[in-house]
Amino acid sequence: MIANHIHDALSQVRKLQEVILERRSFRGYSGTARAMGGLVALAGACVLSSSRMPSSEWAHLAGWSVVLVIALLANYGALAYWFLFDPEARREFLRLMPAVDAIPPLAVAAVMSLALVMHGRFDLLFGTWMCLYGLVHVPYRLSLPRANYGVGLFYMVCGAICLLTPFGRFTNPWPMGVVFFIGEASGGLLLQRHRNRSGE
Amino acid sequence: MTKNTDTPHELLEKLFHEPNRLAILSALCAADKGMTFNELRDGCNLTDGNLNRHLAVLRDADVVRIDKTFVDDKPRTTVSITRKGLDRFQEYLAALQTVLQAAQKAIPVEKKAMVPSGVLRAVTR
Repeated sequence: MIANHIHDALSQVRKLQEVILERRSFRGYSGTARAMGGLVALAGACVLSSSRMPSSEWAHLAGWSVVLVIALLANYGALAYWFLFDPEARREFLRLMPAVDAIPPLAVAAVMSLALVMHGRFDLLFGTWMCLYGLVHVPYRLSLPRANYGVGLFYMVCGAICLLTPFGRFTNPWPMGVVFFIGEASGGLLLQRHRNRSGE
Repeated sequence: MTKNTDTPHELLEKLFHEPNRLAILSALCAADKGMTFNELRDGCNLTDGNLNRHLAVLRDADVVRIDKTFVDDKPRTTVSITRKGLDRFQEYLAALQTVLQAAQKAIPVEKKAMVPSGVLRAVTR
């Protein structure tokens, strides 16, 4: 009898834990916007690899900056729309906390990029961006689907490869374009599936 | 503050380890938009006075938020769990799980044998 009671209590505790995990899940990001960011990265690689593009590092840096701005506008625009108009968000700042938690690694990425550019170490940029963007996925391990953490690991592994091998040559846009396309497209699909499961 | 993990029951936060408050928080953690006072009272089978008393304790500990509004000229009290409250309740549940698992291990084997095998499998999985 006691074993049965304990079993019942344990299953109730687990159910409550599942309820809390579901409640903590963050649905502010748009899967479509994220996948679009991946497509923009791939398109950026196509444009930058064309023979008409100047092959200087500064031209490539400008090209990737444009890609970054478009991706940021798409993703944070979707987040802002969710915050302002979705009844779930209710314009409560606390609901944005998972997105706020991602700011420190992004800020570090910005500072490191600036430092590397200032010292002319362009070839370290791809690896640094991938590793730090992969790190952004860590704070989301409890609030986004678990597989999203796997996407973060993918970025970190690719970043390490770019940092440690000649793949990270800055004037070759393909490693960056392909890695971000795969990462963002799969991340976008995960987010979309997560939203659909949550009944949105 | 360090807690003694050799005795898992000491990890159970007394604030939550009261049956009525446990019922209140279990109901609130599932209600994303909070619950009205009447819903909570009926759902937890409590009297107005009892619920008020427990809510005051939880509010003072910053575990729940109580909003008083007017809907159709009638006062409405909405209770919702705070982020901090959700964190603490999650920690409490983890501690409770540890205690229950320890209790389960402490049951003699012959008594476990009386339980249907499917149940045991589910527990030890």
